[in-house]
This record gives sequence, C-alpha cells and structure tokens, in this order.
Amino acid sequence: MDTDLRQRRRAGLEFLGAVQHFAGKTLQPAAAAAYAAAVPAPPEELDERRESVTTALDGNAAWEFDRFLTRWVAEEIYVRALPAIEEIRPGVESWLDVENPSGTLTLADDLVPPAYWEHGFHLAPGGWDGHDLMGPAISELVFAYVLTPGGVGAVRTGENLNDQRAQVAAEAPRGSYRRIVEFGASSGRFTFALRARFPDAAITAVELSETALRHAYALAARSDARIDWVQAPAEDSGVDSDSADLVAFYTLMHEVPAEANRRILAEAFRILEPGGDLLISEIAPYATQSAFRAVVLDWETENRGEPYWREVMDMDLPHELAEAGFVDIRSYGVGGGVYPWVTRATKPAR
Amino acid sequence: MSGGDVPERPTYLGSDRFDDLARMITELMSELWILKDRNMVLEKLLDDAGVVTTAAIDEYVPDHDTSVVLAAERAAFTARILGAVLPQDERLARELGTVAG
Repeated sequence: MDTDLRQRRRAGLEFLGAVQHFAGKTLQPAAAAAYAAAVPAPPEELDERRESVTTALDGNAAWEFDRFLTRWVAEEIYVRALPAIEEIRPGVESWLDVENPSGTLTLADDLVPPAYWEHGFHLAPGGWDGHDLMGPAISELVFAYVLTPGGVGAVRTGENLNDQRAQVAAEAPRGSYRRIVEFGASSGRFTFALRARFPDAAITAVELSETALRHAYALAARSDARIDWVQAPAEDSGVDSDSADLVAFYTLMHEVPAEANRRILAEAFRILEPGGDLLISEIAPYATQSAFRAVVLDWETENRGEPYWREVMDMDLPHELAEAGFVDIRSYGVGGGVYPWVTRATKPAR
Repeated sequence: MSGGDVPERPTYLGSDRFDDLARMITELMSELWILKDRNMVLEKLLDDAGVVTTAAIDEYVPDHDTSVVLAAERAAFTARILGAVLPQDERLARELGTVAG
C-alpha cells in the first residue's frame, strides 16, 4: 500500500517514533539501573514488585519521563495517524478495493461483538474499529513510523516485530500442515508468517475487526497469499470440529478477559483434529522476568489500554491448557530469551 | 480527555499541572521538529533546483545590514521568551518600543 504521506504528517509520526525510541533506549534503561542499585534483592510477587519500583523510583526523572512519554506517544499515535490516513484516503480506499483476491473474506453483517471488545484497546478512540481505516492506519503507519523504531509493550525498542512472528511460526512442531487456523489475526502479520513457513497449507484467519480484515484481505491479494479471512470471535469461530491440524495465535490472549481465554482454548481444542497442534505466543510469565521488567509490562494495564493484561498474566497457561484437555504442553522463550514466549500443546490422538 | 475510551488519564510527573506543561513541551518539540524537517526538505529542493545550495547556506556570512537585522530580531526573540517572567507593565513597555513608525 502506498503510504507516502504529506510532509507534516510524515514528520509528525516520525517524531513519535524518535520519542519512543529515546524513552525505550535511554530513559528506561537508566530507570532500570537506578532500581537495581536501590533494590539489589527485589521481591518476587507482582504486587510487591509494583510497590517496590514505585517507591524506589519516586522522583526519578528517567522513570517518570519514560512513563510519561510512553503514555503520550500511545495517545498521540491516533491523533496523528488517523488524520494522516484521511489525507490519503482515496488511494487507500482504492488499494483496499480488491479486484483479484487471493482467498476469501467473510464478514458477518449481523455480528454482535463480545462486550469485552468494546473497551478502549490501546487507547484507540472508539476501539479496534473506531475509524473505518483504523486497520491500515495502525498496521501501515503506526507500525512503520512509531512501533518499529520505538518498540511497544513486550517488544523492546529496536526489535523487529516481523522477525519475531517468523520465529514463532518456525516453532510449530511439524514441517508441514494441511489446515491451519489462526485466531485474532488482525491485519495478518502473523498469518503471513505462517504462510511463508507453510506454503502448502490451507489457512483460515479469524478476526473480529472488519477494518483489520479488509486490510489483511488486500495485503493477501498483493502477495498471492491464499488465505481465507473470517470475521468472528475466536471463542466462536464457526470452523468445523476436528478440521485443523494446527491452531495458532499471536499475542491474542492478553487482549481478552481470562474467562474468554478459557473459551478460546476450548474452541481451539474443538476445531483441532486428534493429534493436532496448538501454538501460542504471548508475554512470558513474570516469574521469568526481572522485577523492573514485570512492572513495566504490568503498567500497560492501566496506562496503555490493555484492560485484561493483568488478569491474563495471572493465568497459569499450562494449567489452563491441561484443563482444556491438551497434552504435551511446553512453554519456553524462543532462542533462550523471554520474548517471543511460545507455548505448544497437542490435542490427544484418539 | 483521556485517550480512547479509558475513563481516567493517570498522572506521571507528580501533578496534573506538571503533566500538562510536559504535554505542551512535547507538542512544541513536535512542532519544532516538523518545522526543521520542512526546512531541511526546502533546502534540499532548492539545492536540487540549483537555486541555492545547502553548502551556501551553511557557509553564509551575514553582511553588515543582515547582521543588524538578525541581531535585532534575536534580541527581541530572547527578550520575549525570557522576559515572560517580568511584570506586565515592563512587558508592555518593551512591546510598545517595538511599534514600527
């Protein structure tokens, strides 16, 4: 998609990326160092960690401005990206009008989204579909100008969001799959990583956001990706039972409440054939992370429009998977780190 | 205003007023950057068109008349910003002194 912006819009978005980059690369490490010096033996529990970091860094300029600037950028991305995409609307609408599709797009005209979906996710005005071009505004403009140089959430400043998706796709146990279903596909970044890894698989991508699906559908056409996009909640996908040999989702779980996650796991179990694989990428458990890092991540809950983050991080995913009937459950950091953090499981064979 | 549908915006710098001032500063920084970016683009386009090179701008030494104009504007700019802390009657007297004619 041609995302050449006029000067003011381009420079304004690039400025946000520079600010977030500075906060992540300079201010946050300085705050981390100050905390480490002040509290050489931090507590283990999250509530105690939050109290410890808040107390130890009270009045610390690097910490306070890192948090302030991170919040400011998170709000400002919409203030800048939505007018920017409006200025190029004719070109974007033309691009979204797919003449030669590669796969299908099934929108649910009478869809009633789950109540949890209406919250102010990521501080987006009106939520995921608060603007009819929100999909390309986020996935093209914000990703390119702000998130890639600046980082977001668990993705540290300077890390490559697309490389991480490719790494996760490569963690699926088998070298090939017949039918893959992805939940929470958004604009398809992980979906395309699955396509690249499994060129012969039939891929169905399930997503609630119409704007994201339209964007993904147009991207798929340009790359001949052969993907079937379906508008549905992950917990009620409409996919036939016992029909997929791989179900995958990438940073979906922390976007929905814990109870909805249990239904999503049950849905994954239902649509997987016996012996089928489940591949999940999410934020690593806080027990694997430093106290400071855990508090930085937890901060997303009240400060960057992630209303379910804390309750989902409190879930014991391997336990939940076992409760849902899965076996051979493994959780680990790709490459030995903590992000991407992968959990794999299998539906028992008959 | 909170951003998105989040009902309350937290405070980060110890008070809402400090946060508000910091937001004004970040917005000013942004406007300054947009202007600098535009200036750089303008220089590039003028250079490409053969009107004036970036090197010529870098190496320009103001002649006497230009130096006088620059010095006056520089003094006025400094006085307005740093003098914002002065009493109103002094600020008014300064500005009345700049009335042309």
